[in-house]
Amino acid sequence: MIGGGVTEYVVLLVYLIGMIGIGVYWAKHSKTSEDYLLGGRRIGSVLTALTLQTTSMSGYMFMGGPAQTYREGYFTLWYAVGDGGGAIFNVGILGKRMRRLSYFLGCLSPIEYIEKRYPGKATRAIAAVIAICFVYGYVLAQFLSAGKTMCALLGVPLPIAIIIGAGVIVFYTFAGGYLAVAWTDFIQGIVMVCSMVMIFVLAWNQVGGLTGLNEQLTALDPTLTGMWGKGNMYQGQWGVVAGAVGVYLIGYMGLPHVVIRHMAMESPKLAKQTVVIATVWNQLFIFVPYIMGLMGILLLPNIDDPEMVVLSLAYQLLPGVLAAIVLVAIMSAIMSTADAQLMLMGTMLGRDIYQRYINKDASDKQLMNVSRICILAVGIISVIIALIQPPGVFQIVVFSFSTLGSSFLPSYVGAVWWKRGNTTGCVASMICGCIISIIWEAAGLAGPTGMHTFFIGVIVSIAAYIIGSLIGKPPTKEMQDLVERAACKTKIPAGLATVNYKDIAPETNGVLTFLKESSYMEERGFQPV
Amino acid sequence: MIFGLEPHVFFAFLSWPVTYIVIAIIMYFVMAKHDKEEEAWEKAYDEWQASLKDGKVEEGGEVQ
Repeated sequence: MIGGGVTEYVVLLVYLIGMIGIGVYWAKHSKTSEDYLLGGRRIGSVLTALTLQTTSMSGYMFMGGPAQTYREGYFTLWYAVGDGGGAIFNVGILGKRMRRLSYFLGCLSPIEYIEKRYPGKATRAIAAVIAICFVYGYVLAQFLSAGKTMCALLGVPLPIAIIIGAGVIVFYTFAGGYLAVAWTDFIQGIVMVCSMVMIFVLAWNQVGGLTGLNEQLTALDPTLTGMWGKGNMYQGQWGVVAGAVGVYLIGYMGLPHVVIRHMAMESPKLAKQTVVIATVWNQLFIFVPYIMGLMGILLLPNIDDPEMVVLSLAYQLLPGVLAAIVLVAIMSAIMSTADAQLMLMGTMLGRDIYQRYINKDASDKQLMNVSRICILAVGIISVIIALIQPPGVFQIVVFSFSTLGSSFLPSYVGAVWWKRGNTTGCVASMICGCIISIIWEAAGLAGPTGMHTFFIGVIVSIAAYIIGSLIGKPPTKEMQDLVERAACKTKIPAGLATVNYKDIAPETNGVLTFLKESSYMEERGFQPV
Repeated sequence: MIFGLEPHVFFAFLSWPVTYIVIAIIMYFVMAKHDKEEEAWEKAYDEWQASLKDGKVEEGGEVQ
């Protein structure tokens, strides 16, 4: 136990009450199912950027990431290299087009989006099963992490810690829906990055800046500052490097709880600001914790648990209240991921299961209430399972990311970039991506082959998508038109140009009228505009 | 040595934050340019759709 004083309890209490307050506030503003499930599609660029990135980053960035660099040296930064550019790929490739297409198709959930873009009985069933199983695994993992973090840091008994941590997440998600999730993510994102930068600046001075850090590390063990990890343990393993970079560089485009953020943007035009804000935030929040793991090697050489390196640095370098805020930041990182997943579970169960299979004529109010009840039910069940912790639960959650990414990435990207992408390709990629990920993980093939589960899963999934789309029946003309329209590529009849010119320049219109009315063009063999 | 690291190690790991920020800024301007083009396209598209309803332009005609 690192914290556990009155200050920590007070700061954490204020934070948790604040989160509940946000949930209560937005509960009053969610009038329709679109408000509740997608924030009424009026989320601005700053909010989109922060909710996108805080949802993507879990407590791993405060604990797992720094612990890895503490153990392996610079090599672990390959993960940061991928993660740092994730927003550029995610928003740049999907942002605008997915926002438009989801709006044209009238989708409220990322699974409904898949089904409408790739119509077919099997599509939604397969997508819903994969998403619900693995997003649920993710929710469970975050609840367990929240409980264990509070238990380890404050000394609160684990069952009570799980109930408090998960209870607050469930409450504000249940009450305020997407808007509460987005605004809590926004605050959590600021707390997370400020805490991280605060400790980093102080630790930076302690080690003598970047040059001082690297020189001392090299003196200690030259392989720590080398390309291939401590003791050159990954020498020449480019497959591992490609997997480490690729997982986070493109992986987020396959996560339903992340891509739903594009659907909630107020306008496709906000994507450009979102890219910049999210990328700057990424550089501060992603590279910094990994480098702090390296600083920990020098400043905390005998730490028992490397996962506590950031928090130990905070308690060593910061005064009491600020160190307690770092503790809150760790909880924020976990909660901002958990709330998005919980929200998605409610959306999928309400929209994709209840409205699709149980009550097709459900009213807006009914849909909102059912989604709320589903969030509550999933929350309660998750807390119970987290308290019991049956064997095997961790095995399910560790590969949730890879399985979701492998299953959905080609379908989400292909939906807006390849109008030929069809139902056969989508179903094939979901099944192949999911099965390969499970087999690869269950058989433990990642270690011997040096190929990350996500890496192999996504390659197979992309291949299945392309082959399936080429073999299967092409999408309807209407669907292809919609994809082109989402990309603003539909060819507009030339006759309309005249109409536009009239609006843009009266002088041009005058010239065109003259040309049409006179025989000047016809005499010279030109076709009229 | 760059900041106490071999140049290849520095460029492999620590050049990325600046690179990504530069790419994001470039993307901002590229996307802003596309936004303008798309805005004009959207306007033309809406007018086309409206004109189809009015029967002014026949669908499937000559395209620009």
